[in-house]
Amino acid sequence: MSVSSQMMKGLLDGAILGLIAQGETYGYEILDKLKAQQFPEISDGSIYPVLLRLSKKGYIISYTKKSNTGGPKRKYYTITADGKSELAQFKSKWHDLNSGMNNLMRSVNHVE
Amino acid sequence: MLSNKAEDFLLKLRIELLFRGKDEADINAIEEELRDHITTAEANGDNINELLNTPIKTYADTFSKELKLTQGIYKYIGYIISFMLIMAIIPRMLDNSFQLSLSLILYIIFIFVGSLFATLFLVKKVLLKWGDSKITYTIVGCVSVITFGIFILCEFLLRDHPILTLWRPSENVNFIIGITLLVVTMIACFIIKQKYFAFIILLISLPNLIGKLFVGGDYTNKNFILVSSIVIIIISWGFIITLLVQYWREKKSNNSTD
Repeated sequence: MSVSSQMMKGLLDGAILGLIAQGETYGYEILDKLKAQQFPEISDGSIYPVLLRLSKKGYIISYTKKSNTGGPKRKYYTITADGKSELAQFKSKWHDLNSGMNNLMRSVNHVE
Repeated sequence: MLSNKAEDFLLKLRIELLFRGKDEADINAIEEELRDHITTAEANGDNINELLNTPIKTYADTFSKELKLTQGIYKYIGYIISFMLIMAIIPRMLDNSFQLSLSLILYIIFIFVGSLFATLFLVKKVLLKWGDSKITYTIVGCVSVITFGIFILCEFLLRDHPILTLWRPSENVNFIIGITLLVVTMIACFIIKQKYFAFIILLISLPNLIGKLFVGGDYTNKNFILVSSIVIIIISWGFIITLLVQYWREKKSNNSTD
């Protein structure tokens, strides 16, 4: 896996956790919001393994509700206390990383 | 209602994950969630070809690490292999055709047990390539017939070409060990709560047991073959009728819930 792919994988976990922290939501809506925020390299199938991973780590919980329109059942996600504390850590690290990387990349631009 | 392409994608993903031994409840949850996603996307007119064109193995890899294996999967594989071994030995002992030979050992390893895994592997490949289609059913049907043919051919070869006979028990020894193994296996199946296995091994042994009951100890007697053949036919028909009744009941209950 390339460096940029690994970076995207980690960031997607944080981004999805951040979206779920804003309120109960489901897969398609999460993807819609990510696209609306112009989150890069996001595809239809990519969020579900992440949701599974976050559930497994206990950062989010889910429940399934029957559709009113006769469609398939829908799985809704909410953040847990562990998820909130993980998100707080992610935000803090992202803040530091973001400013550090911006500083570093500016000097890389000078090299070019 | 999903498009055929979407249904095909979901089916192939399910098969890939099931063959990796992943827990069925988890697979159902993933399928349900993807079904909801695709239904919503198709209703909104979104293009989901990127998802549907994702290679199944690649997509299954992303889930695979997060999914647990079916509880006790290795235990069940152990049960199946032991059961197949027992199935290859007990009926032979009961009709006095058992002799421990090199060809029997090779037959059990490569044909009896090997064919199970080879067939499963082939069925998976076919299902992943053609999904739920006529060609899949045709190939699976042909493979089953060929496998059955190989079994019969090997049975004849076994009788005439033992290669190296290691032990040839007498008729009485064969019967006593056979009946003891049958009883022990059935009791063991009940203890490990696999009563279907107990039922199957009894059904397989029943033609030889009833044949022996009617003609005494003479296995060369034509009546033995006749009686055991009649019992096999009765059991086969009983099995087919049970399956049909079950199918009819399920269909009836599905119709009533709709």
